[in-house]
Amino acid sequence: MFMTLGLLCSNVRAQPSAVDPIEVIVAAPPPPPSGAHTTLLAHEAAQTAGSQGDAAKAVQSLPGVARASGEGEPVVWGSSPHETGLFLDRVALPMLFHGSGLRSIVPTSLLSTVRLTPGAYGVEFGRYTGGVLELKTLDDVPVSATLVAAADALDASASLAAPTSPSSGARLGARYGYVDRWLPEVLGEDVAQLYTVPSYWDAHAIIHLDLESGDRAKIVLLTAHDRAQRGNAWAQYAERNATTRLYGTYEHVSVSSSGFTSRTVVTPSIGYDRTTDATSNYDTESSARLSSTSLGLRVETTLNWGRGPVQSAERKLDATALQRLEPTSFQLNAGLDARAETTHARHRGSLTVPPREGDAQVFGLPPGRDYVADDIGVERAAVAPYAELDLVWASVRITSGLRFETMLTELGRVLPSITNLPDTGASRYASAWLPRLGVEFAASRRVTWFGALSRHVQPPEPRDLGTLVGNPTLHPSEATHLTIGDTTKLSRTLSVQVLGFRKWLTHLATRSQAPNPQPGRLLADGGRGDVWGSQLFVQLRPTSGFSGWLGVTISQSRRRAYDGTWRRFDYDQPLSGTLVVNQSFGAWSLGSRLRVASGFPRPAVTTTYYDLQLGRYVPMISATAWWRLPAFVAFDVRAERRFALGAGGSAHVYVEVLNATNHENAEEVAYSSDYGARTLLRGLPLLAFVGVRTEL
Amino acid sequence: MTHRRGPHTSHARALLAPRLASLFVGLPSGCSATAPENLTRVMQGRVLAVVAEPPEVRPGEAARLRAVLAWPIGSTAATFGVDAWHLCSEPRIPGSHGTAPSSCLTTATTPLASDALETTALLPTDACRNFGPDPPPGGFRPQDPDVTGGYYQPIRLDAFGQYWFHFQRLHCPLGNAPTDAAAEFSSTYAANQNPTPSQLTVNGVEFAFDDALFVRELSLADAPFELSLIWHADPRETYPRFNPASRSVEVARETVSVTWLSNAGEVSFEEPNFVSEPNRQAVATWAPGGDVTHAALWSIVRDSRGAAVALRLDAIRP
Repeated sequence: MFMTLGLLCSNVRAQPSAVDPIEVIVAAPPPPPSGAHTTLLAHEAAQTAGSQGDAAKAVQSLPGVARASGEGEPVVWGSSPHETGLFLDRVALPMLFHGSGLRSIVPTSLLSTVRLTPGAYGVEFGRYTGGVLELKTLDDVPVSATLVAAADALDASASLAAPTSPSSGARLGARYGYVDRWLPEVLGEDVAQLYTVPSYWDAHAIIHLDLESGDRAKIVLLTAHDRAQRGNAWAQYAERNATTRLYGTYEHVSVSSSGFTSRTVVTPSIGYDRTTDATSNYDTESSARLSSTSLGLRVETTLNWGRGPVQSAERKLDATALQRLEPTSFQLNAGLDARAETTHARHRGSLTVPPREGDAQVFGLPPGRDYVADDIGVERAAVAPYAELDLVWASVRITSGLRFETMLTELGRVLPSITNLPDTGASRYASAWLPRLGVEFAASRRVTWFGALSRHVQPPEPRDLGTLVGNPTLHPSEATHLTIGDTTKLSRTLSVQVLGFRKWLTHLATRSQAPNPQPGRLLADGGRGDVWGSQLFVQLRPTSGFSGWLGVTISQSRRRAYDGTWRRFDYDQPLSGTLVVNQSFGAWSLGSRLRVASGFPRPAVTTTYYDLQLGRYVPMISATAWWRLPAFVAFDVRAERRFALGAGGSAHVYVEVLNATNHENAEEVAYSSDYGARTLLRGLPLLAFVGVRTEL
Repeated sequence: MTHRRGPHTSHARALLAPRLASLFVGLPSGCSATAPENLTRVMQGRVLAVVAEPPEVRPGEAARLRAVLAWPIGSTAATFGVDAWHLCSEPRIPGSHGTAPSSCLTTATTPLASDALETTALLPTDACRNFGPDPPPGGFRPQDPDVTGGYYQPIRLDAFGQYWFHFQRLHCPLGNAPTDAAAEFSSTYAANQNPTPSQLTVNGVEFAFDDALFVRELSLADAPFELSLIWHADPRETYPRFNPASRSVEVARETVSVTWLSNAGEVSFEEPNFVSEPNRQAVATWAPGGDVTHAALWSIVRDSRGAAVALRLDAIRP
């Protein structure tokens, strides 16, 4: 919207923690989305109570994000976690968190901003039918050597930022989680085998180059690894994740005397991901492994006219920036988003592992007896040119964009292997025109109406293309997003946004319900989804050290299988609300967070039978009857004290109390062995964290 | 480690973990699973197993099926029986969560003539097509095997007001395998046998295990009972198994597990109670309690290819 035009200036040459306004060159940044989005400065996000100093984790407190469950990956506006794109400097990441949603894989010291667009995102992004979460790394060359060391109950980290020349610098850092070392000792053997206690580590390196020509370059390496293992004499579970990204950005900016500004950014990238999940016991064993190597290339050019080149670092998040635009201006954003990847997915065991969204199952249900071995090789290339024109004329802003998504998929096998015959592979090509239209109207100096309509596609998951566990002919899923709302600016720092949203999802992959489907057609792409809701977002930008936001989302998300039956989306939360309040004074920083959310829907057990071979009861679960866990309420508080050290250094000590009221929240339901009784599993009790961070 | 937690709870807890993992920081006093259930105590009438002779048959062949029932304290064997036996006629939907076809809970069944505890099941000639590796007419997807490569005819028992499923192992030819693998499998595969123990010892007294459904009477005056099932030869048969990943035949070995249950007192045994070399035995201690006059203990021995044998000891106060 107009009022947020200044939010995303990318060439901020200031330390993120700068307090004083610093004049910087703003070189025609890409236009921010004209729909709903929320941007947080990383160092502010890290102060959010409940984030444990992790800026990316603050995403869980943003409006439109359902309360995290499972591995903590964001559920945005009724979309599955894998339907929301996670980007680090516009390079796709496979996951946001280390296993168990404990820590994000991107350290806060690396980040400048976190921006969430829960729907109707811009044409510069694609291949996701949910929202987009963008993490942006720091751009500035370090002006002096800074060593940051931090430790808390979960992990310890160290990072070093230093200039290597007047025009170049580097940032290095690493983090090591040790929670797996002490937690089992504290909790005892029984709890240790009940819960995943992950071990993890990550490391990063950034090289910054400010070239004489005024161009800038940055090379980023991020690698994150985690694993978890638990078990007892009956069952064992192991999980392992690894992801690595190596990419560079080269940025060229030119400003003409006629008022035109152009900015071109080239981002080549290489990525490697590997995940393994394995469960076994005496009568079943299942494992799913996926490894992927990807190459990416993004070229983005932004040309604008009539948009002032000078902004201040603070003003980037100042909603009054709109009024500082020229009354008439335009911006053209064009680019190419290309990605190639080769993926090998390996499945062993029951078709029910891993579970799919929508599977009728209950907590603790063992995998099925069936054993399937499927090796899936997928090579995929996607190229998407796009262009978006952003026009401002008087009180109206129109953002119209078009993305042409082309996807080529090479499959090594399209039907199950047949005895003594070579496998038959196939090439599949799909393309889609993906338009996006955003309109804003400044009804008054304080009130802006906005709306956005967009279309998106997402290729099927590689493992869904297996001939024995999936369907090699799956069509990309499609989505149409609509948002309509207004933003009212009550003061320079206080704004209120009210919006409604709708998502229509089609071609979703669902399980076939046929006892004997055709070979290679275990999944069908006839699933549909429907999401609608409204959202209130009241944001107070820092004023006299006081800041915060209130986000309330009311929504409904449901899915329809290809047989026509509608059901609740697994993560459906009709109500979720978050109130975040932060106050800084002197060396102190205090924060609190109140979260309220509907309980997750759970299917109902209608009857049971006893499997005499496995020696256990098996529930019959209704596909349509369901109930909800009780509502979730939690209040978290955080206090941080800064101590000055010599030579400009500082030490920060923080205490964070999660669930300060010790409210007993139901996180899941466990059934008795005959499924005749159920017990709610309680979640987080009152728990205090202490952490220390020093900057030298 | 000796405890009385059965596989249900342990397995369930292990599988609970992924969804609760994000909460582990709050574990010290917050997350608590349900208390372990005493699954070794028979509190109501139950079917514990079906003993099949033979445990693996070809389509068109018959198997004699005997239900092993358990009852709570105060009841007797004569009180209970199986109301009906049904052959399921439709396969399970691939990827569905259950182990039995949901259609078999309603109408897709063929009744079997039976008495209260036994029946003879004549396996349908198309069993390998409905429940095995043979593609159904039209080239549809065949059913998936279990981890042992086995396929099963589901058989429903109606007893005690609920459904119980026995899975009768089918001897089917290898489906969709290379010719040499199919030939090797066919020439080396031997039908599964019941893992019948050689003898039972009770407080040092030996009993020959003379039937796959073994019943003896004990005196409560001799309690507690130190029980030991002993095999003179390794009951864990080896068998050829087709590896669908390598598309070759490999030699696998069964696992054999033993479960103990009683309707009075406590049974203590080590879990999981797998039979292994070189001991080839399963031991348990049963203390029926001093205030009972008639108690029963059951032991079920299962192998991983679907065969089961059962033992029942009736302890009576003289």
